[in-house]
This record gives sequence, C-alpha cells and structure tokens, in this order.
Amino acid sequence: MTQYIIRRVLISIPLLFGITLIIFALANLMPGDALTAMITDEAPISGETLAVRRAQLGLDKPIPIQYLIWIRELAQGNLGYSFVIHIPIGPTIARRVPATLELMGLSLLFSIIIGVSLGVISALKQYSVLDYILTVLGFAGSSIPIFFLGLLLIDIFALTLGWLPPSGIGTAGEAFSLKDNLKHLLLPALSLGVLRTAVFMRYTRASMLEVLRSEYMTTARAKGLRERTVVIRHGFRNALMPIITIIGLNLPVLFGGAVIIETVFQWPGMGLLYITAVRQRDYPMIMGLALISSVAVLLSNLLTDIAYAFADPRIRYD
Amino acid sequence: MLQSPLEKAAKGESPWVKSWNRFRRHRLAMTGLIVIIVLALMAIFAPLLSPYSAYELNLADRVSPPNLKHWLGTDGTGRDTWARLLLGGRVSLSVGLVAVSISMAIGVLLGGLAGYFGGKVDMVIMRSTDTVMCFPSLIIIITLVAVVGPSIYNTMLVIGLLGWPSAARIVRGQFLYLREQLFVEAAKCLGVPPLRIAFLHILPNAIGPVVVAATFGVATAILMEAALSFLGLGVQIPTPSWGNMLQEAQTLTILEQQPWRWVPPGVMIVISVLSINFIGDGLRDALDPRMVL
Repeated sequence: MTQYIIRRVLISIPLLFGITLIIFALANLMPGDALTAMITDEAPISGETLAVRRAQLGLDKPIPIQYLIWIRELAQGNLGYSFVIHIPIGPTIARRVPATLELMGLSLLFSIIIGVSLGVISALKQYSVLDYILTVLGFAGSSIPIFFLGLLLIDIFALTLGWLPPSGIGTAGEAFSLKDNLKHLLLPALSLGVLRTAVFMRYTRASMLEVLRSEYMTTARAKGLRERTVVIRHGFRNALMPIITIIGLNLPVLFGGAVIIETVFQWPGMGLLYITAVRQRDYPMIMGLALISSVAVLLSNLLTDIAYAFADPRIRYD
Repeated sequence: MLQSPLEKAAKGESPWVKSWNRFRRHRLAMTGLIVIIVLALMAIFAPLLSPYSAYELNLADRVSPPNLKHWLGTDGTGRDTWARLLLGGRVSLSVGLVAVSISMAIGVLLGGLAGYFGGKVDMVIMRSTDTVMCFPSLIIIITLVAVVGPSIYNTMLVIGLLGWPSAARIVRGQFLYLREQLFVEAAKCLGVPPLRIAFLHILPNAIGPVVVAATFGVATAILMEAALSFLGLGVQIPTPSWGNMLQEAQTLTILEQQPWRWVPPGVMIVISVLSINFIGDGLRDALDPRMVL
C-alpha cells in the first residue's frame, strides 16, 4: 500500500511541473509584469527607478531563470501582487476559499447521494418505465447549461414564489446565521449539482448492471442469502468501485461550474473573484487562481486514486 | 460445402449497413437526428426564415412581448428575437463543429502516434495528456481568452485546443490493440512506411469510437461556448449566439418580467445538446457494441 501511494505521488510530480510550466508560459504572454502590479498610477516613478526595481525582482534575467525564481517564490507561498488592487494575491484568494468549498462540497454531496441511489434503483428495475424515465431525465440533466438552470431556478423560486433569496451568501446588514446562509446556498448548490447527479446516475446504473450479471451474485443467491443482502452487500459495494474514479474525474468540471454558478448567484467565492479579475484584466490574479485550482484538482485526483486503492485490494498488487 | 457460408457472407450486409440498422432501432437517437437536421436547416437558411434582420435596431418597437409581427418579441434595442435566435443557432452550432474538428485532429494525431510507436513517444504524449486533463478546462479556457481576447474565432480555437485529451486516449487505446493484429503485420512485411500504416491502415479501423467521442464532443463544445458567451468572454454582441443572448437575463427585471428575451435561446441550447447526446448514445450502440454505458 505504502509503495503504491509513493509511486502515485511520484507520478504527480511531473504533472505539477507541467502545470507550473503552462501557467508560467501563459503569464508571460500577458501584458505587464510583476512590477507593473506593485506600482500605482497615482505616484509616478522614473524609468530609472523602475529599471532598478526590475533588476531587484530579477525581471531582467533570462526567461528560464525567471521561471526558477517564480517557483522559489511559489514554494514560499508568494503568488505576487494584484494589478488592480495592489495587494498580495495569496491572502485575497485564501479569504474566498471557504465560500467556494461550501458551495462545491454541498453540491457534490447532493449529487453523490441522489445520483448513486437513483442509479441503483434504475439498474434494479432495468427496462421498467421508471428506468426509462430516469434515463431520459439523466440525459436532460447533462444537456442543460448550468447557468440556464440557475436562471430558471432564480426566476421560479426567488422572484415568482419568493421562497428563497436570488443571490448573495447572506442577507445584507444581518448578522451571520447558519439558517440564512443555507437558504442562500440552496439554489446555487442545486444548479451546480444537477449535471453531476445525472452523470453519477448513468455510471452507477452501468456499473450496477455489470455487477448484477456477474457470477458471484449467482453464488451469493445459491448460498440462500436474502435478496437484500445479495444486492447491497455483494452487489452495491462492488458497483461502487468504478464510481469513485468517476467522482474524481468530475472534480475539474466542478471547478469550472463553480465559476459560472458563482457569477449567476453573485456567490462571493473564488469563481466570482476569478471572473472579476478577468473583466478587470488583473493578470496576476487570473494566474494565481488558475494555478491554485489546477493544483487543487491534481491533489484531489491523487486522493481519489489512493481512496480507490484502499477500497479495491486488487489495485495495490499490479 | 465450404462455399455456402462464404457466399452468405458475401451477400450479407456491410458493417456500415449493419451499424445503420442498429442506429435506426434506437428511437431516441433517431428523434435526435431528425431534430438536429431541422435545427441545422434553420441555421443554414436563417435569413430566409425571418422578415427581420438580426442586427437591425428599431428603437420605436423595443422590449415588445411576442406578437404577430415579432413572433418572439424584441430585445432592449428593438432587434427581433426570432431572427437573432436563428442566426445565433448558426453561430453556436458552427462553433461546436469547428472546435470539435480542431480537438479531434489533435487528439487523433497524438493518440495515434502514442499508440503506434509506444515507448518514450507514448510516455511523453500521455503525460502531457494527463497534464491537460488535470486542468479545470473552463478556467484554463477563460484564462486563454483573457490573453488572446474574446472573439468568435478565439472561442472556437480555445475550446478546440483544450478538448483533445479524451480523443487522444481513446485513439491510443484502439491503436494499442490494433497494431498487434495480422493486417498490420502484413503491411509491415510489405514494407509500408510506419506513418502510412498508422494513419491509412489502422486509423480507419478505429473510426467508430472516434465518431462517438466527436459526437459527445460537439455537445460539450456547444455547452462550453454558451457558458463563455454568457460570461461575456465568447462570441461578442452584436453577433448573436445562444449563450450571449442569455447575458441579458443577468438583470433581474428582464429575468422576471421579460422571459421571451432569455428563455428561447436557453431552450434551444437544451434541445440541440440533448439531441446530440441522444445521437451519440445511438452511435455508441451502433458502432461500438463492446463498450458498456
């Protein structure tokens, strides 16, 4: 097991290197550099001073050296300065992380629970009317653009019915309360969750059908076990294995979805910060966020693979 | 005795006819195909299907709800929603097609090279594929747009540039299996050059899964374009696309009181993506019976 984890971590290192290389290349294509980010327009600085500062920061060095300097700074948690608000990027992003995690966490939990249960039901009742309806709904769920779904939900539940607030993370001017926060969270988490619910449902159904056909199911029945035990202990637990991988593969998409949903619902997380940065052409901020979300995806893929190895003993010995 | 089964095979249906027959039996896929043909015709003949231009401003007649003159009403500057919807379909569908052509070209080339040559070539290509797959693609696409600037061509390009890894993986998998087959051995013995074997002998046998992946790819690309244009980072107004027509709904008054301005393009996206996904599902059953799901 330890050996497997070590090997898996080692594979991630070239990926991490690739990510930093691509982000650095993109950053170099963008106008302006780290120094432009630190100075404000209000206090003009002479060209000479700029040249000196640039040399201090290492911006006059060849590109490969600059890359190494950038990596060194990254390792110390320094992501550079924002072009627009002239403050360090790291802490600004860190403050936005909890809101995004809350949104993505709840929506992922929702889609795993609903998606997997519906998938199992669909498989157990294969070719029934219910199975057919769930399959078509699954297609519909993965075909609707999430921002359109979000807008429809706002129109129906917030504007027409007035049950839930249309945007934000809490009622303005009111002290934070969990109930108020959850009321604001419900619609965005739902919009973000529907697509993955559909995906998880389809994969669970396929995986469950495959398991139901296998011979150990017949063996379990032949032993005289109750049907419930056969389906849940012998069937469902084995069907769950491939679904762990599918959940892991869906995490990058979840990040993209969060950007859209946070914009639609004005949810103050990393996604909204990102879109604001893009609209203001705040390049260092864009790069910082792209880097952090890519690394987060890399780490979660790593965790998924390790979780899979824990769940399936066969993986460890190949 | 030996001849009869052979004769039967000779008279039998070609693989393409067999596939078509399997596809035809898939009811959802046939429905999807018909819907997509209708949508494509509407997009091609867009200007003929509406008396109004998609660009013409008419300030006297702005924000009017659907009526006999303007079937789907008008927007804030008096442009006809129906005309914009038709032209928007042309834009959205072609962005989807072009983007997928780009990612398929890259994916087939890289996947083919990796699968055919194996070894170091395979390792380098598959590692880069993993790296690109690791990126949250919408975020990297937005980052690229921030560098190159938003426009319809850049939208096609960036969506295409990020979509190839799944195609590359599929093609590689097919090549790994096919390159061990006898017909490849035979071609090698005849002295056919490696690239010719890879792309003229092996690739045609791997075309089924590629077509399936491309079909689902078009659906994803249309959704991606819609999201980008909705955020104001894709196709730019005044050129209509289904995604950027939905931008207006970010204003709460329009969202609540003027549904004709944003519901139709949203519905069109759902219909077209759903149809394409149905077609993809039918094609998977028809072309690639080994694949489950």
